[in-house]
Amino acid sequence: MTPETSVGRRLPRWMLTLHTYGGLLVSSYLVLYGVTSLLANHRPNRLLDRLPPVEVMAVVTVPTDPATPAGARAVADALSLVGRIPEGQIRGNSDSTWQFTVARPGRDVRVRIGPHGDARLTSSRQRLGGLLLGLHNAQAEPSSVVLMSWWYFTGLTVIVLLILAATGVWVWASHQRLRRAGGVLLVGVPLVVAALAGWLLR
Amino acid sequence: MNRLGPLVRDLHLLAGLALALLVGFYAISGAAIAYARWIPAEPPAVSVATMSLPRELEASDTAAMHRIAAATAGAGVRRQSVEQAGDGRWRFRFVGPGRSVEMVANPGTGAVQVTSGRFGPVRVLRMLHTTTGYDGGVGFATWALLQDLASLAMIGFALSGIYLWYRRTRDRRLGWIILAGSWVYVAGLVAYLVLA
Repeated sequence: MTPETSVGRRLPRWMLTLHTYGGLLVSSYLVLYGVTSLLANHRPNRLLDRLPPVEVMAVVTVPTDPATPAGARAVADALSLVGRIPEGQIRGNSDSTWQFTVARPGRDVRVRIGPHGDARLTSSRQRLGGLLLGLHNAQAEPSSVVLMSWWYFTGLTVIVLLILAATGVWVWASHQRLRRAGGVLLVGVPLVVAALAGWLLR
Repeated sequence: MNRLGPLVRDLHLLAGLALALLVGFYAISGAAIAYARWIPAEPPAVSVATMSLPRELEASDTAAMHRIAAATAGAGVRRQSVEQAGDGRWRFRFVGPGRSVEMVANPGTGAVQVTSGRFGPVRVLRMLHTTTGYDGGVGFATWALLQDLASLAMIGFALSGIYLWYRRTRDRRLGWIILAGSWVYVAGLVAYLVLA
């Protein structure tokens, strides 16, 4: 099952195997992040705009600790809302209601709860581009198994990516061809990047 | 392999050498963002300075105020916001990967307060990762171009790598399992977020 190789004998077979299958494992992630990075850099409104909000009503059990993170999480769980609850958006209102927002990639839901448990949910969805960009920026959210799996996959990809870079350089070093061109690129490009970063940081 | 195979292989190799460290940087800096709870950023080192506006400057001279603000902020930052209060005071905010600058100017009194914040290494790492867009001058535009190249490289590495695996491997069963698992997971996650 190992990939064929025509490179020099100095390249251990397992290294090319590791590079190949590690690359296959994270290929979807790389394509997703490549696309979303382009979206972040160019911000096409047509792909990132939000869709018109939708409102629904619901009835929930008023928690014993309203207008608190724990109370908000209890209500969100009761409403099957998945996502992060920014603490800065949990607040009580002058009309005896309180509100919070549940945010996840692709959808924000603002929940406004009255004193009798009547809840108004205002759901704002993003277009696919915004959803993917939200996935790019996703943080750990322990309340959601699905979002946590993405967070773990991110960590795995970081490690695999570094392995891919290292094994890729080793593969190149085992080639007789492309030594000079590869060496120029390997050293030259990072120097340019470092110089630019230094300029931006001054 | 046909003629396309060696070409794809060489492109994968040379692009990898050119951009591997950049992609690696984005992997590490991205981890500093994704795992922010465990990698806290240091508070910025803040300094405050005062200066005076030119006496002949009118409060309504918007263009001149913008020029003064940009010159005061210096290079390596770009304007984030500008507000003018009812009493004529201006508040400019500039931010760059390494620092932030806030300038509050009162044309009526000629007083200017400049608050500068120099970021620590963790925040610099995050800021370099999230500094996007071509506006802000040559430096920022060049950085954005490098980001685009890294983005295209990530896509190119993945697709060319899949092609090379397919063309060079006789027994592809394990590869298909890994590849399918990876793409089904991501597609399924996106579908879940779209539909849920």
